[in-house]
Amino acid sequence: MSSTREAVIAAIKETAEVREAQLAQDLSDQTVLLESGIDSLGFAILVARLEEELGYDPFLLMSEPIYPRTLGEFINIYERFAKK
Amino acid sequence: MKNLAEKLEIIEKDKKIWFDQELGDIFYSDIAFAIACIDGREFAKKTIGLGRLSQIELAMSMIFLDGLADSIVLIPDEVDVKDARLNDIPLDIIVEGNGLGLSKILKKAKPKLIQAPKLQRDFQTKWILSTSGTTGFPKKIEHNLNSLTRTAKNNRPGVDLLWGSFYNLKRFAGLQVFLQSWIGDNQLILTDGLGTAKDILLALTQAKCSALSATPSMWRNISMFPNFKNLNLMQITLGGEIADQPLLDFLRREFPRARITHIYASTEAGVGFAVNDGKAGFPVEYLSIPQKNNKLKIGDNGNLYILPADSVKFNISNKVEWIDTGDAVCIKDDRVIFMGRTNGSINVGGNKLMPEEVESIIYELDSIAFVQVRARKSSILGNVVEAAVIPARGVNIDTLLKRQIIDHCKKKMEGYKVPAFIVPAEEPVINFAGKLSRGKVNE
Repeated sequence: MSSTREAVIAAIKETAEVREAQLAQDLSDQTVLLESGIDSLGFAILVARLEEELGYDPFLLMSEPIYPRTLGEFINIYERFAKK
Repeated sequence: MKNLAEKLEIIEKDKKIWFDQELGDIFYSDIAFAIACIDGREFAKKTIGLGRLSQIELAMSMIFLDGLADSIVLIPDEVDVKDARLNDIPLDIIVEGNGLGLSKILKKAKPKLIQAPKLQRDFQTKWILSTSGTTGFPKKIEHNLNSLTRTAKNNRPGVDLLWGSFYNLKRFAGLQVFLQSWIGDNQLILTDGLGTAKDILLALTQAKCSALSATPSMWRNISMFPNFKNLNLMQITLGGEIADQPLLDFLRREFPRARITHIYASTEAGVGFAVNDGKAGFPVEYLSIPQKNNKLKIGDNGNLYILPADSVKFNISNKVEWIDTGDAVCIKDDRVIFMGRTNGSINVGGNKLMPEEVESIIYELDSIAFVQVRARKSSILGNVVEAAVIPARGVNIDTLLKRQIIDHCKKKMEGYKVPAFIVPAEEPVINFAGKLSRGKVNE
């Protein structure tokens, strides 16, 4: 597992805990983000936490915005911008 | 248009106008029938408060009462009608629950026409709305049908739009969608009681919604559901928050056939102007050419000011004057760009709050010596709420304290107001007026 992937999964769990959200049992790449237990506010908090942790917000860096649907797409976005 | 019910006299009765999740297709004839059954004499020239109602009962009540009542007061669903805040507008009648019974008539398989006395709807009814996000009590803003419908028309002749929105009909934006569809003869999908954005999105795709209005944050939100791809949109409307260029570009790519409109409006000023060129902000020409009879200017304080058309009245005086929108703007090339709110109010995905409101709740905790609530920029929701704290002597900022603050806030306020981040505060800066300095909007 890449370190970015680890950081993302850890941040999701932390955000869910803080928001007292019930995370889906099996988080996989196919899990739809907004059906994982985190709502849109939780998602915004997650992105802000990851910016603190990783030092970047890919949604600000991307020239053409993409809004990820699944966990896999979300991690992929962070991995892509980690290289830059 | 003299009143909303006027349309029922002239339109083809077998034209479909609404789709309700529970009742299915609603035709003009259904609405005309139900309204004809209710005796309006007790509501004539009275101040009527519309409380918690289903969307269809609310919609029909507004059509029934416009032209008949002295005032229609749209009471936000989160406000208890018995709340003292409403005492400054004495309500003659409060309509809630089953309401006037209009939708009950629609639900009957073979409703019996009870011909109520026909009444003249020739009163210019005042529409009283509440603003959101102010400290303490919501402010009442008075409109009339003219000021509410100034921009509502069938903008795209030959294009039959099926409208949906994510707003409650009582909010200014939701009311605009409702009036736009009514006046423009476009069908409206009522998505009452469905709850989550995901469920509403599903209902809209199934009903084949072709025109959709939502805040920028809501657009980002629904784009993350697989069903988003199933929308087939000809009209996209954004409002309530700053519409940034990346989002406009994204929607252009997803829906190449759609016209994209972002609207600048406030409950106070009504609809200010609309921008259809796909670019963020608005053209500098709008500062010299009135938009929808509104004049615009940039004040000395760097805020956008609006002088609305004279059909809007205000709750302080009947004089029409320049309104400071509280939005900081700047000119960049040939565009006026929005920078954010100058009064410190925080906009979280279209929901507004004042920092002082959250601070006063946090100050209820003995463990806090000082707190400053501020916006933290979010690429997803525009902003989220951050609380910078100095704990009381002997208390540390640790997980336990953060949990205590969040739990306390959760009990007392809506979810979007609860701080998403709790951080240590720097030493507070007090300005020359003795007030806590909240810094400039760009910092």
